[in-house]
Amino acid sequence: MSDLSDQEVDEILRRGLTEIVAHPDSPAPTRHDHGRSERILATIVATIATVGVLTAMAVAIVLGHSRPLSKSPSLGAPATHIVPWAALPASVTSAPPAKPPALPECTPAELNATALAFAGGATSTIGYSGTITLVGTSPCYLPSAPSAALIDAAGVRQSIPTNGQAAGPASGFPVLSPSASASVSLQIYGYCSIQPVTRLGILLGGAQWLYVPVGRYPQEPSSAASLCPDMSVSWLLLITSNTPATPSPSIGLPPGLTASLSAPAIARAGESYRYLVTLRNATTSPISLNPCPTYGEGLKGPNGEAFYTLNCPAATPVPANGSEVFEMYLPIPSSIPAGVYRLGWLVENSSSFIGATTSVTISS
Amino acid sequence: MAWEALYHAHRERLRRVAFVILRDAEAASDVTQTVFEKAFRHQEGLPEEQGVLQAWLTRVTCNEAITAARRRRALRWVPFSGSEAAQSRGLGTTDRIVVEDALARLNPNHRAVIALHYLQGYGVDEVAAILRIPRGTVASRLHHARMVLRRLLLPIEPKGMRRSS
Repeated sequence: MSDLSDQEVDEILRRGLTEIVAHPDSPAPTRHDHGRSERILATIVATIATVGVLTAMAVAIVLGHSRPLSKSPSLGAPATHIVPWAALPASVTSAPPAKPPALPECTPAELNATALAFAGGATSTIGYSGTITLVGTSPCYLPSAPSAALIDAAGVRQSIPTNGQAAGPASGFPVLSPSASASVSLQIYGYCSIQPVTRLGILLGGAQWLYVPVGRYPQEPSSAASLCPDMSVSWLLLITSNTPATPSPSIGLPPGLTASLSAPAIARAGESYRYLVTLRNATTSPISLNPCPTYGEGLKGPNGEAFYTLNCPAATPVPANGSEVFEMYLPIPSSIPAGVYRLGWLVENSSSFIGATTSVTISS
Repeated sequence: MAWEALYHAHRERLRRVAFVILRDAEAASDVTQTVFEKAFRHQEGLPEEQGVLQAWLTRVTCNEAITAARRRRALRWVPFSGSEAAQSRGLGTTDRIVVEDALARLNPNHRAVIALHYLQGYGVDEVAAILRIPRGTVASRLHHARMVLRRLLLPIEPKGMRRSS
């Protein structure tokens, strides 16, 4: 798992504990992202500088999305061009219908679901993806934000707040024609606080449950179960149609791009929270952002997700082996209780999701 | 030993142990105070041998802090009180951040073992004796803490992550 010896780990523990008890009144900033400690330190230093500026800024309301009147300095990002944030709503032309279509809702007997396969993960967050295919002979639709249950090997439904479901334009009512399929993406935050999930139950038409097997996480789940007992748990479930004739619920990242976050570890309730998203191109050719991707952002739990279109008009094609940095703003509800939350940023593709999360400590 | 001398000889050490378990300075001070109140009430029966007395105080502190941590579990995390002090502390801050994160992922029982071994320098057998738990449990908890720290320093690489459609 790591090339660090026991002695090196012991030394880090000793030094860290010594530092902690020597300054008990100044808790360390929340660890950012999932990188190495050196990267964490760089982020924290940048974060502290940025928070000082942000807190002094006035706030304006732009299309219901509050943001500072002036820009804060660069936030741990490359000293290159930063594409400014713009309140570009998610494309309504590509959004699925907001109301259920005049079709019956699919029932489990009409569907064939593949096991959800592990689709990626990092510390405390894992994702799965799979497909649901209509084997029935009549078209039907799937719910936009279905009730769902995460079930462990013992058949016990995990007690997790069902507040991580998709909302906004990326949700909808995927319509399936015979033999057509829909994609299922499941992301679990703080998964190590719960028993390993072996089945996903999705509540469908007729109040019937469709049970989808969930593949094993590559890391032995039983050993991970007690790693973060104090972490809050939430999840995000997206069901989107794969049928070309059905409008895609969102436009995903072009192949070859990955996303990462650079975000202040600390935010204040009521303010507009600025962070950066870096799209990296690992290929040897520039990648155009056309069509322009739709992204979702949100704090897991308190306010769901909001969906926007990336500010592609202000961006250039992502250069080969290079990156493009996008500015983001997220309004922090003034009523949010102080605590540690998960910031999520994702682009929902037709068959999977690309995204990143990080911890944010919110002070009142 | 005079009561005041006992207090001053052990207070800071016990407070640090409690702080690692609780991750809250104020709560750690409260626990330390409770320990000394207990010791004061039972001072006639306190061990006379210094090593035994120190072990007794440490055990009571751990037990009190673990109990308090469980009561406080709903609150989670360290309350925010500004982090500017951590801005320019150099590499020590890096270790602090990672270890803070690791502590947050351990339960109070594990944190007690960590505090006694890494902070107070007790050996595995000594920790086992103080906390009255099997030696193997101590070793297991230390191994677990190292594993958590490794995970934080080298996160899992996504495997099979679908980069895009």
